[in-house]
Amino acid sequence: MTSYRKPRQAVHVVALAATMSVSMITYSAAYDTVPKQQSPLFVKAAGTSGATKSQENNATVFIQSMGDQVIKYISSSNADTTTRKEQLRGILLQNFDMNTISRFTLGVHWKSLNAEQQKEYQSLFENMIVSIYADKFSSYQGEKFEVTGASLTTDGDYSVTSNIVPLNGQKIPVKWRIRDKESTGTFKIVDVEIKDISMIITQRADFASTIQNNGGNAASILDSLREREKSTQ
Amino acid sequence: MKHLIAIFLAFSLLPYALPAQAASTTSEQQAAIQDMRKTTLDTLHKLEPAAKDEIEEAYGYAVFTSADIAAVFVSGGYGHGVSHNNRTGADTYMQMASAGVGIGIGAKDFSTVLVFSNEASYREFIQTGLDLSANIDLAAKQGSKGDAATGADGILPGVRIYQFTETGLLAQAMLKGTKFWPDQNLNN
Repeated sequence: MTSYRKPRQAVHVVALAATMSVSMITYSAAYDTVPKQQSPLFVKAAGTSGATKSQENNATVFIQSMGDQVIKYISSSNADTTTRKEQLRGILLQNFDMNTISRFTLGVHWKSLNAEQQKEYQSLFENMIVSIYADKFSSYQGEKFEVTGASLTTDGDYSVTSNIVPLNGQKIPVKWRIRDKESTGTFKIVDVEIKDISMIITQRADFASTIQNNGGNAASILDSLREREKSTQ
Repeated sequence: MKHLIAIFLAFSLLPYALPAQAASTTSEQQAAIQDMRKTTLDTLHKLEPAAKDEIEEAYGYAVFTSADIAAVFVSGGYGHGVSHNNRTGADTYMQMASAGVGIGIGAKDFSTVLVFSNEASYREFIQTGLDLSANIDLAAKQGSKGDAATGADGILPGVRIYQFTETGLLAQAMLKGTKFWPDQNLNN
């Protein structure tokens, strides 16, 4: 099991989330109705070299390719539910850094679990994600997905901007934070934001509330995930 | 700008969401949201009759519908709404968005009604919005509530929240990872 690549950054985000109260939303332009709360995860780096441009292009291609994979998955298979879920799991693991995501979403409680519990947690977490998206994709109505650009962030990750385009309606902006973890040109997604709302921070808040409501017992998250898994089988 | 309301239709699984025709002008969009307000409040009054008096006696209230986003690996919701000042009769059009999956969250499309007991909480909401996207304290306090309506005193003072689907009130408000903000286009 690999460790976090950027532990200091993770600590920073924990501190940010913990100290944020009900904050106000500001606007940079009268015609722009999208909240402008700049996440520290998506601060654009100053200056752009040729190599960076190339990597930004690769980042764009990576996310578009992932989107194409999902659309193809949704629209092509007639396989049974179990097979479909395994196909989806393959796409998920190919494109997402599930180790980093699962650890981040458990926050400080990760260290409270022993190695066996950590392993089970990551397996249950992965199953939850697969189950949720298998269900969601079954109600897909033809929304389009378009990638609009990419930029290097100050912490070395890439932020890829995109839109989900409904059949009739306003585009929904989605940002993907991706990382070349091993510096081999192989990207993995570590976070997704809808209108600047981070999915992994929201997920961590959800898990934190579950654990807090169970007396602060980190292992209770396993019970909740097991229960959820049983109810969806 | 032309299709602010059409997003409802693209995701419309709620039978009470909006008329089945896309609104294109500002006035049409506002009218569609007003229709949504009426049908949503009617639904809430049936589900929770006590809410009717509570809303009428409040300083103000806000009504939203949110539809599920189901494309690529993105999980969340997006919707429109309107805030109403009971004292002055003024309306403020709003938007909302959310992100996340969650252990116990099964509802895909739902309505949210926020009831404001005082002027300060209402004014803050319509002027600057509400950002609950990274509030761990709120998540924890919410989780301890088993009530259909969540006040979360100390986190959202002066605000009571109802959330429901067409099948009933949600046991717990789903505010984690949610933002509300005034709609610049529809309010001009």
